[in-house]
Amino acid sequence: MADTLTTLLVVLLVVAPLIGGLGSLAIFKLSAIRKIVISTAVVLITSVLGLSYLVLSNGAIDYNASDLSSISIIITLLDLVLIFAFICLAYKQKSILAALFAFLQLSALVFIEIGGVGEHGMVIHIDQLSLMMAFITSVIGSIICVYGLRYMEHYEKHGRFFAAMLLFLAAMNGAVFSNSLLWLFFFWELTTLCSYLLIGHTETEQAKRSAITAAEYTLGGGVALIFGIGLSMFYFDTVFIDQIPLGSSLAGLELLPLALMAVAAFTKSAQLPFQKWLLGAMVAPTPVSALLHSATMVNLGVYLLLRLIPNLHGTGFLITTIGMVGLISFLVTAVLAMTQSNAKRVLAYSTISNLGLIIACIGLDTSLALTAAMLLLLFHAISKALLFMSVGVVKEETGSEDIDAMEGLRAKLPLIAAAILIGISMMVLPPFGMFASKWLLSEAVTSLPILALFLVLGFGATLVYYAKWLGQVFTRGKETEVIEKHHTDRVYAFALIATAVIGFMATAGIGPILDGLINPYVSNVFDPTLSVRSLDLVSSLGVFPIMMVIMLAIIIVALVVRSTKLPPVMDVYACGESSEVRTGTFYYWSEERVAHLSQASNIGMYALLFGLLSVIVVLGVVA
Amino acid sequence: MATRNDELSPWILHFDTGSCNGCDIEIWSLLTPRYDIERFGMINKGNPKHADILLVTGPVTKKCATRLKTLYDMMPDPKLVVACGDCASTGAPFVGCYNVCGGVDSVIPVDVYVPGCACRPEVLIDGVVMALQKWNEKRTMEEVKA
Amino acid sequence: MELIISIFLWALIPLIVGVMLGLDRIVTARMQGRKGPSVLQSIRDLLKLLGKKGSMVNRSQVAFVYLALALQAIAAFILIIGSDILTAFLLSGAGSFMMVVAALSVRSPYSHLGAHRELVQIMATEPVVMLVVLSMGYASGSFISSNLEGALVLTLPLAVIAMVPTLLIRLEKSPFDIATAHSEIVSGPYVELSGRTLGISKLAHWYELVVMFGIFLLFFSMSDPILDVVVKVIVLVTVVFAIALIDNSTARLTRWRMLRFSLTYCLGAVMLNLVILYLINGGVF
Repeated sequence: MADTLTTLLVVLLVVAPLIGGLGSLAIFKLSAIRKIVISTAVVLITSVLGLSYLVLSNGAIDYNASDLSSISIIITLLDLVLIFAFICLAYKQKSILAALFAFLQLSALVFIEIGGVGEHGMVIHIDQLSLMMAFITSVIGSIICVYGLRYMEHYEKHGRFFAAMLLFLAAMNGAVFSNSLLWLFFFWELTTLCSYLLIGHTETEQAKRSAITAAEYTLGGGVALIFGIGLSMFYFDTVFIDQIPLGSSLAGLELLPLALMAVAAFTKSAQLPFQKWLLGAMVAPTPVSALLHSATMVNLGVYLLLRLIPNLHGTGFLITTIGMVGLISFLVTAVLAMTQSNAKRVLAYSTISNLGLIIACIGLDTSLALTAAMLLLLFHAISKALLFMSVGVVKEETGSEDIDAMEGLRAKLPLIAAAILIGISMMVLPPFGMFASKWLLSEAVTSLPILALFLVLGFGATLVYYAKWLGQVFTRGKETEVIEKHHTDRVYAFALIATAVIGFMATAGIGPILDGLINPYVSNVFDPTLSVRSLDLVSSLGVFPIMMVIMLAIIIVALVVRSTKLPPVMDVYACGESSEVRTGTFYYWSEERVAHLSQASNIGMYALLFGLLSVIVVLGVVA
Repeated sequence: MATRNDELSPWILHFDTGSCNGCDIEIWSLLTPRYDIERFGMINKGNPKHADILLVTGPVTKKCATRLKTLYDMMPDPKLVVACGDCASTGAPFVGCYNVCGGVDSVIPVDVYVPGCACRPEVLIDGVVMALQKWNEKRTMEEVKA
Repeated sequence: MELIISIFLWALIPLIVGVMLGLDRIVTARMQGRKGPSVLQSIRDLLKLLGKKGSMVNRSQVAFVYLALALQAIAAFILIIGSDILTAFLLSGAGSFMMVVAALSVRSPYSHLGAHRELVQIMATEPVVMLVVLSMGYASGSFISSNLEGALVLTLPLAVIAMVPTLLIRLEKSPFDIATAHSEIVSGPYVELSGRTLGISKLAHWYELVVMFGIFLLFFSMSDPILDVVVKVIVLVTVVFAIALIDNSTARLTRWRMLRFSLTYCLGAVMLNLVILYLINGGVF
């Protein structure tokens, strides 16, 4: 049991957004909601910083099940209420699939509760991984909520919207703190509910349909999770994650619960073949997309896999298959992202792709790859938040989310153009994006060449779709051309600059992040091989501080371009003509071909997952 | 004698302002093995922004005049213009036609006039070399201006 | 001391590339029955461009071109001090990315066409070279170029062959001169660059060639320093001849043909080589 201050911080991180959410639900006036959301954000950010200090200085924080048995009971009750809510919802939306999933969850949950849950374990375990996730949720999520305050002014039902947003943050924080799988399941389902509410917020036909699709997919994932929990009770006699035996000691049917939990993770992280819900979720207002893609929802799946690393490590084909799912998702969606014209869809595919990359790292099952996975997760959240918020501002200013319509953004909305540049650089370009890729690639090739093949192709496609977009943002005529400059709202500017600053701090502080946050978790399973020193290059002449050199080079270029006498401005060459030129981008593939590829890969992936489960069962039964 | 780097690598832009193609053929023949102007570092660039020397043929029809001006403006300083052939130099038989300006120099300043109908490739090379000699003058003029 | 030599070499290496390109121009000219320019012609062109003020369309164009040069130059430096080839290659890839963005950042039809073709070229070459670099690292167990095994060409012959089309693409030579196709889209991504900015972009391209050829020549490292230099020079000259020959005897492909060619044959060859190596290391053979 930890001291009072720690408890207060932990409680605040889960309960403050909950109270804030209920508060905004009760109040209709946006001005009041604004105050509530901002104060919740402040509380969340201070608490997570305080908690970081405590965890980093004193180590992990644990709470025993026996001390919190009453809360366990409340959570079980709430869980039942939640599932009933899903049943009602399925009835209202006439979704047989959702109803079926909810009933399956209900029966499994009742079965587990009747079987009795042991109380000898920690229900809450807050280590460096949880801390990193809580940081992403609380800081990035809060910034997105503040951004939403301005963005949602033109929408209706603010109370419900912000209640769901804040509840989402509470659920995420709860989920990453939980060590008990049943607690995790409750928060997991809570995020499903929140995403359903948020995606369907505008209540158009399309939004409703997308919301119910999202609910169906993630409820299906919930079924996989609760079955996994049930089987874990059966085989390992525990619902506590840290008590699940290490992967190397598992064999036969004992792999089944882990495989099911991995499937649940795939649905949450929208990996192939479950990507449909995330693409549909694009109809939601932009803050929702930003929240789903960067700070919450999709991270939860990856988090679960990261959390289960000690149990997955050394399970041979299971973890390899998990990696393959990620790898194929990475490649296929990177290719699909090249064919999209809507910026939000490009971002949606790139989210799936990047999460696929993270899962591929997990699948590689080496120290370096695991480090890369955790770093990628952090940077992906920051980068995606920036990109989505930028797209939202563009949508509001120009009325379009199309990449083609983003031409000349550099002149129209310079701040947004800068944000997009930073967001994209963070994922693909040096200094940060490059290092992650490097560690990953060098690991991949040594474990299995075929992985390297997928990776190099995927990286090529990633470069292409980001270059296309970035190029369009920076496209403009001659410098002297008069372009009406739009004004970026103060709130938007704040949200973007804050996120960018966090990104810069994370890049500059990558050494301490490695030492303080990531290596301690990696050391649970592997000897951490990366340290601050790894950021420098070894050479025959000694150490080459590459990170510093690149940053210095960028600064020098900025100074040179600013200070040198630039040449005179000249219009573009068009064979001597001076007519108006309009540009567009290439999309390479037709819609039909895109549909074919997604369909084919979905079928393949379903077969792969089904094959994985049946192989485990068959091998287990035979043995 | 050419010594400076820019004199050793004059890149050429060729523009036809309504010529009968006679002079154009002669300009293209410069690229062939017989005349091989790449010996002197000359390259035919289809782009005014890369070019140093503009070779113009034809009497400059009125439709072409603005294009010619645009192309000339796009060339980076210091730049040279060579009017290739009689039409480009003076307008020749087309002077006074309703649709021609009559000579390149009625639109843009010309440095060297290469006579002939059509102009001979050897004379063209001579013309470009003469233009290169004018380069030094231009540069000093620019320096004075600056 | 060694560092000073490295920096010196790094500053001088564009001259070597310039001479190589000049040699290529002479060989091409001779194949066409011409005399051809001086061997120093490419360097003269570069110096001329750097001395010209030129013009610009907008400021972001200039900024991205300078950034491309910075990244390519750092990449070349990393290779020259004998450090991590994977980092050098990724940095150089980022440099090409910046060049594409520079070309896209002007509203010009030719520049955009060129940039999109360049993107297809990146898609065609990046995976191949990345896999080549990875297989080099795999074969020697390290990506530090000074730790690479000697004569890698013997272990990875197919990778060496697969890199030749890639070098053609990177050198913008027929049949792969698709982005800069001068007769169609007037030098593509470079069309809006002029004077000094064009010179900077050329210099960036030269450093990119340093990285590409540097990686290629690492296959032919020998332990004896004199033998090493001799072999590398011979290989370089042979490659220049071969490239000039291919350039003069082929017609331009479409970008899709290029992409298909590169991603099937070239990538396939490297992959095959890598798999064979993997199986040998695994004790299958």
